[in-house]
Amino acid sequence: MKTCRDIQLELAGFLDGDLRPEETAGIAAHLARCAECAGELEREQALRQSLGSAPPVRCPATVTTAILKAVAADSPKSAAPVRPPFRRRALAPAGVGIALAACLVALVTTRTPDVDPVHTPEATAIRSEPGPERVRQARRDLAWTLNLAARVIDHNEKETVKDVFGRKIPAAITGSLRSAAEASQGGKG
Amino acid sequence: MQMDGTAFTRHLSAHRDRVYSQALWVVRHDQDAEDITQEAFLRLWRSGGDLPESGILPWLLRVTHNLCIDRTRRQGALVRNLGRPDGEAVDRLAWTGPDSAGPDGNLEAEDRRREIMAALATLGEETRSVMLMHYFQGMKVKDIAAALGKNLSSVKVQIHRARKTLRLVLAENHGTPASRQETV
Repeated sequence: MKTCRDIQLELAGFLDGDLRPEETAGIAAHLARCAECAGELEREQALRQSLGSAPPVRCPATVTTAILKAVAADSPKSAAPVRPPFRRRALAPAGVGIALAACLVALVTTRTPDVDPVHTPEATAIRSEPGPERVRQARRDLAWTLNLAARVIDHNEKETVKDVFGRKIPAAITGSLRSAAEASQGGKG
Repeated sequence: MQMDGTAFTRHLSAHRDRVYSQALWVVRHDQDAEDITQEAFLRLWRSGGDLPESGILPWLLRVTHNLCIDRTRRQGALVRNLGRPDGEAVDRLAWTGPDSAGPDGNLEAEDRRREIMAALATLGEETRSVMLMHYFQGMKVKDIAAALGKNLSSVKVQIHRARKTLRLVLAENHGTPASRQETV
């Protein structure tokens, strides 16, 4: 015979729906004849409702930035593709930049463009191929991402983008990307 | 091995507020909560992404729980943070400050949540963390036990005792006997 304490210990599992059918039936029968345990069940439900409906505290943007920077700093360790020296130097930071820009855009955008050229199967396939087209695709990705980012993110997040990209992308690449971004304005994104 | 960037972004976007809230309400210190949130997500990034989609938040909360407990133990905060919280901290931790994601519009419910959070703050960090995982994060008791590597019965007892403590604290705050507290 279960005591009231036994029943009350099982109320969370009862509400979670994690008990066996015979256990559930036994608790239901007890609740029907025990006012104390029925009251305990009501209080358990009230507490769940009260805390369960609470909105979370918003994670500060500075924390998101710190996470993305930490991830960026962590990224090159695993990226060891076999490429000619120039491309490795040029694309490694750009690749991290693309990933970060995509992260930032995905985190802050409230609307999704109809077509996301960065994540199409074709673009993904090209990025996996060696050769000049991969370089061009990487530039197109970043231009599109920057263009979209400039339209949808707020001042703080723009500062984040500037901060991250200002430190990561060589000047030669930045100029090329700027040209590509200008050319893509009004088109993609 | 690291997680796929797109998946990581999705998880960061979906769970950062909940991880940060958990850390903030357990350690009750802004900078510590920020550090813990960052560390939890960095560990997720380095995890390699072997977790199923539905297991990401429980995994993050387990890591957050462990980081919170490690930090408070290291700092001796288990003793420091026991006892009654100060009013300003409770107000901020109870969804009323500028960091709030927004009230639900029900002032009575807001007041009640604030009271409960104040009462939760009187619990030790480990118990408070478990209570938040269950009532705020919506984790089932068996999932909490699995996530923390604890015996299911001990988690049931921990929650049951904590609820009794909460009721006593709330009753004391209202100046009424615990038996008349109808909400917790």
